[in-house]
Amino acid sequence: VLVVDDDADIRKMLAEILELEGYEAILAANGREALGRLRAGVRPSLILLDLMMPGMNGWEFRSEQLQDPDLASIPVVILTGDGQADRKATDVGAVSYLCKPLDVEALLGLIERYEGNRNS
Amino acid sequence: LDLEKAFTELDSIVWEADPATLRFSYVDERAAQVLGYPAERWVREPDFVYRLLPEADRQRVIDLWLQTSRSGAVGRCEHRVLAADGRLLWFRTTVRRRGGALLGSMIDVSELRAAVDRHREREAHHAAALNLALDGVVSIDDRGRIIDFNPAAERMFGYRCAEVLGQDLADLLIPPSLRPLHRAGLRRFLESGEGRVMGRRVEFPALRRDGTEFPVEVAISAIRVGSRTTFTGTLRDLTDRKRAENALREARERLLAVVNHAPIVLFALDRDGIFTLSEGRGLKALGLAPGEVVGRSALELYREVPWIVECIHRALGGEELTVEGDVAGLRFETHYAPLKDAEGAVVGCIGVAIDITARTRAEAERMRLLEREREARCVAEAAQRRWEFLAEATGLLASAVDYRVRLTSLARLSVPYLADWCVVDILERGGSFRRMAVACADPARAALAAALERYPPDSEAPEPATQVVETGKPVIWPEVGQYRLEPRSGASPREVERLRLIRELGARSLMTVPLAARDEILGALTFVLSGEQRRYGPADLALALDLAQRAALLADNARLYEEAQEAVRSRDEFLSIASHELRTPITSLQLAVQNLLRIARRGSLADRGALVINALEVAERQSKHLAKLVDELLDVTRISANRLALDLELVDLAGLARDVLETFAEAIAAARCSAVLDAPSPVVGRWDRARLEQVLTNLLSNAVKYGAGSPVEVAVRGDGEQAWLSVRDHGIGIERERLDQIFGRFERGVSARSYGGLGLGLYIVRQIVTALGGKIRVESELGRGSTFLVELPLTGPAEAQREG
Repeated sequence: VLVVDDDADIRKMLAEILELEGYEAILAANGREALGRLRAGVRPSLILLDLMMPGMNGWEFRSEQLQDPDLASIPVVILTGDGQADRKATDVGAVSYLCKPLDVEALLGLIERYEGNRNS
Repeated sequence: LDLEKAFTELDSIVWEADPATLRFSYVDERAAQVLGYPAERWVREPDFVYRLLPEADRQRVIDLWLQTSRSGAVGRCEHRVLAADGRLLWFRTTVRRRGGALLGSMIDVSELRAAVDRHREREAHHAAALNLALDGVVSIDDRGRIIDFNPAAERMFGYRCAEVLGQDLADLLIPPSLRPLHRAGLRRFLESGEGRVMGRRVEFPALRRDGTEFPVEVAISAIRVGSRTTFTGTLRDLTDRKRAENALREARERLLAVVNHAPIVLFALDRDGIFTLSEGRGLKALGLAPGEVVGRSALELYREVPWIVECIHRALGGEELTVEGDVAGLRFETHYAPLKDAEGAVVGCIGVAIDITARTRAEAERMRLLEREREARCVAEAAQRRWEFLAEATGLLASAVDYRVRLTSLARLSVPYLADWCVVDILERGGSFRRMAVACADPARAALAAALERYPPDSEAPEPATQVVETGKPVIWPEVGQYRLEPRSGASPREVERLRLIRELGARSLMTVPLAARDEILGALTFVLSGEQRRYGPADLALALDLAQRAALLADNARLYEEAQEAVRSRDEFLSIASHELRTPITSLQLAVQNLLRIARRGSLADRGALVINALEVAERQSKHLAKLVDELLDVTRISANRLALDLELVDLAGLARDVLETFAEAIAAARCSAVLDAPSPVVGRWDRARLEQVLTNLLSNAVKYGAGSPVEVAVRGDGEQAWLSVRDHGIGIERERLDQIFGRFERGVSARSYGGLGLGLYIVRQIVTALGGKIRVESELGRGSTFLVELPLTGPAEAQREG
């Protein structure tokens, strides 16, 4: 799972939770870093994407991602703090969304769904 | 009357008729004898009266009937009647009213009228005959005794022929004073055969029988028969002719009197232009006496007055003309008419000149008054138009569209009434100008006007708009010195182009008025005339000021409205950011807690000590972060409510900067920045330490946030009165347009989505600096970084502020 969020503590906590559950977590502080990882060959089964980030934000990241045929198909779940998460998810073509503060059970449920899909 | 009565009794036809129907109800038997119509036809035929009366007289008679019927007065008239055999006979009708009917009697007066006509004819004939023998003929013998005396002479002298025959002519017919002359003349002729009166018509007074004298014209001829000589005089009574002559003379004198009393000059010239007549009171004004110039040449007299000479030539050329012209300081209207002889040849001319000097002056005066009245009307109309213009402008300004559009419309409305072209410049918050509109009356120059829109006034240059905005006072250049439109040597290409556009648009007269509302200058309106005719004056300026005042009110309202909208937008964005910023630590916090919970539930807390400590550290850090965010929000609330409490003490700004940099070292390192402090000596002032730390912390956190990966330079200086603190980064910089906004609440230099933070940092910084009596400003270049410069008085905030 690729975690893209500008807040270091959120990244750290998400990584620990995911690893505790047996998933591999790859971390990026903004869209540019995330793109760098992906272009370096990392192929996550899911991307958890914060939208408001300095450097390259979530929208810009999605736009780059979708233009790259190798990356376009990787499902994205957006992490968002304010309202209208539903609409934002549709806007950027995300498969789902999670509202901050994050509920760990809901998060793990989603990851399991996409991780399972890929494995099957 | 007797005659009529006799006629009535003997020959009249008596009838009765109904005036309403015009029908005869009775007629006597005589009617049948005289006119040939049996009596029963008169009564039976409904419109017999129409048959009886010929058309020419019919209405007159019927009117008489009706009038008599109405008034009751006896009516009489003579009219013709058509007899049964076709003759037209004259009748005299008398009509009386009896009861509701009319009673008439008709007498045949045909014979009578014929007799009268015959008599008149005879008399006329006789008179003609009498007229033929108007000359009296009197003959005398050589001793002066009357031997013949014709009827005309009888009438002339009042004697009968028989009475005078044989009498001495002189005794009877010659006034006593002339008798010796007559006798001497007679004797002389008889002796010498010479006579002064012979063969000529001479005028003498003659004596009537009643002793009155009268003028006669006499032609005497002598007839010699043998030794006897008789004399025959043909006499004509000149009384009438004399009277006529007298009347003529009197008329002429009256005419002359009139001429001599009228302000005219009556003159006549012969064909050579010599005066033959010169009369009239008008001469006096010319310094001439009546008749004075007679015999002199008008062409010579007026050779210095070409129009008179020309008129005389034209009149003598046969033309009739009327001209107005000045002579001797007076104005005359002169009518010239040629005088022609029987063959039509011009023999001279006659002229009437009327002195119209006074009239001309009166007319000129009237024209002057008219002109003044017209001017007054123009002024009134101009006032009316100004009023209409202002009313229209006010209506325009009050309309609901965006105020920029309205200001543009206002500029358009101002041309061509108030200006040939008009410019609206609005002062932006940073002190620079924004050119809202350039309107031009001439469509051909619209492109120039549009081009000029790209050249707002330079706030550093001495342009009218700059001057007006600085002083708040209008500028009016009735005459724009054209040198102003020429670029100075070394002018920038922009300035050269701007002046070229203005020159092409044309600027002859200019006024610029401030757009001022609530003691604040919002911008300037510039009106320019490019034509040669019009120049701006005080009235135009007053109108422009009025217009500007209305526009300023509008612009101010619009700006307040926009600011309010902007504030709402900022608040909404802040709420969005605040929720994001608050959610971020809460998210970390929650993830840490949930993580701990999961570890605890698995019973592996002891095994996973490192993870537990990690999670707890995150929880602690984020709790603090949350507390800080809450404090920041509270600060903003306090500052907004003017409740920023200052705890003043002596603080060394240099030391403070060092301390803050130390505590910030970790964050600086995390952002891959390096920090340099340049604070060579302590700068001590009376400040609030905690607030100053907040100022520097906020500036540093901005520098690190926006300038990640590049050095941050902090400098502290003092000069005994002021302290300076500068924080310089080499980050993304700030757009020029946003420089004046960044100190506002919830504002930031770049889009909110890329950078975290509440956007309150600089707002708080400025509020604190202001509270300490200082100032903050920023210099920035996009992509190069920003420098924030804080200037603080060492003495801290001013007395009043501290107490407040």
